[in-house]
Amino acid sequence: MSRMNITTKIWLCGLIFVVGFLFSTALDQARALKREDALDATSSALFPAAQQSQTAVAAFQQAMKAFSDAVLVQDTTRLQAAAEDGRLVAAALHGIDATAGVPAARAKEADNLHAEVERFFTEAGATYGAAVATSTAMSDEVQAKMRPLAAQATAIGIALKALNDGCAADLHAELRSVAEESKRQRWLSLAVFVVTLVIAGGLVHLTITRGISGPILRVVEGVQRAALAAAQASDLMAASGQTVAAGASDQAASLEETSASLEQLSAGSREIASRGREADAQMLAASRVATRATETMTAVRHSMDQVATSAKHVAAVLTNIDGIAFQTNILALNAAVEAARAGAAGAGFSVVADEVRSLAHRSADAARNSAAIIDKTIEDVARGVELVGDASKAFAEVLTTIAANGKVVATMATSSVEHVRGISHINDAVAQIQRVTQSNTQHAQDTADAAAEMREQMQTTLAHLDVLLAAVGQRTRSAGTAPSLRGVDYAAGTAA
Amino acid sequence: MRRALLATIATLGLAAASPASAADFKIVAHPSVKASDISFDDLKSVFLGTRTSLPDGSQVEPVLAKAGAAHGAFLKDLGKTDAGLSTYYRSLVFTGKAAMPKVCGSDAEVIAYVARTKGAIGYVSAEARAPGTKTLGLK
Repeated sequence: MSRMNITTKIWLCGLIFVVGFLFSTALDQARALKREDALDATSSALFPAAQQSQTAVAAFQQAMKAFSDAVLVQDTTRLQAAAEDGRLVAAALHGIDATAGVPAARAKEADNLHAEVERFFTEAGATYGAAVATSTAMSDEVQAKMRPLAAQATAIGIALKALNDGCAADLHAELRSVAEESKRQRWLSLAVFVVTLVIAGGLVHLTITRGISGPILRVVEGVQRAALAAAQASDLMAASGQTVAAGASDQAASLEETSASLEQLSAGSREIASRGREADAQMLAASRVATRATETMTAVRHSMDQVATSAKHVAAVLTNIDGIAFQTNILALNAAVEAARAGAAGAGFSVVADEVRSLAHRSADAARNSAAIIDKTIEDVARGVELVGDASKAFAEVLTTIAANGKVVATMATSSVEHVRGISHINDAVAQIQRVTQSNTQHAQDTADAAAEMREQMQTTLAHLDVLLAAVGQRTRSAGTAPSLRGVDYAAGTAA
Repeated sequence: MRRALLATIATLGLAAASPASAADFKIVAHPSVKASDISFDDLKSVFLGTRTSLPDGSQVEPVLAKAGAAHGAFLKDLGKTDAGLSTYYRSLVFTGKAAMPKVCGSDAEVIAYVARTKGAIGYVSAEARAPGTKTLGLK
């Protein structure tokens, strides 16, 4: 059953309903045949019997009326009519007795009555004939016969009435039985029909519940969950879109700033490159200056060497001067000694000698001082030569450094140019990023709009699902426990 | 005035209820009948066979006259003709409710039958002598 599809199930329910209907109809037909048999028996036996019993009663009453008329008005023709009615009574009773299908007790009762009626009419014909024959007063004998006849007529009338009632009761009982049977059949048919209807209805209900409503409910539930999740996702998308759009706007602003900074950086780099080229030129000039300084230093060294040589010559001269002063001092001493030996004549001379010796001392001191100065000069020159050498070395190093720096500056200039080119590329890239960012902003906004639209569509879908739920007899989400968009924290993306 | 009017109406009513020719016959009964008078309704019931006893319990048997002034006056008071009464009695006999009453040819036969038959009650001329019988007054 559970593997059948819905169409098969519905056809099966219809088939069950048709089978139940056919069974009910067949049952009805069988009962109807039985009822028709009973009605046939009724129409062929009980109904004629009732009619004949009624005829017998009526004929007997007519006969008694005829007898009464005959006796009262003394009319003999009424006696014949009474006899004719009596034959009718007898014939009707015989007819009841002879009719097949009449209950045996009723037939026996009719047979007994038939005999009694025949006896009565024989006796009544004679007695009432005698009564009719008498003129005014009837004889006591006739009266004595009439009295039991009256009682007998009453008894027969009662018996005929009882027979008639019995036949009518038989007829009514049979008709009631048929009616009861028909009623039972009607109720039975109704019961079979109702049971069939209930079974088919139950199966249809089960089929619809399990085959249609159940899957629909499950689908609706799934779609509801999906719609809820989609709504949550759309809300998240909307929030993310808004966030992305805001971030993209911020990013665009930052990119604007970055681009401006890059422009400044590019300008700075170009300035650096320009300065680098200038520094390169300056380095070249410095190199030339340093070269010239080196050459000057070399010349200074030569000059210093010549100064040293000259100083050495001066020193040699001063040494001679010092020797001369020494010898002068000796000569002065000798002159003083001679002057002292010369006594007074030598007194003047001794003063000259003292003066000479003082001059000699002063020359010696001057020579020594000059020698010292010359030594100092030679020493200074030597140190100056060393310094000049050092300076030459330094200038050489300066040249080397300037050359190296020139290379570095040239490299820096080249790098700056490349840097400028790179910054230009970065600018282009930033511009491209800006365009992409602007596009992303638009797309993020579009995504947010699409998410909002999707959420509305989800709500519309849920509303349609409510209609579908109502169509399958379920409570709607708002009235039931189905998930609702209202209970969702869309910002957090979770269901409350 | 009002009382006189009521008395007049009562008198007229009694006159209407009373037999018109009661003075033309008298009721005779066997001396065994206890009552000394009889109402006309009781008399009518006895002679139409609807009752066989008087209110005092006496069993009575009606006796008819065949002809005569008393018979005619009695039938007139009874409201039937001779043939009608005969048919009426035949119907009673036919239905077994009663037997034909005794019919006498003259007042003398009536008186003789009443005098010898216990419970018999009949009518004769008012002036007829009825020895051996008891004359009942009509109420």
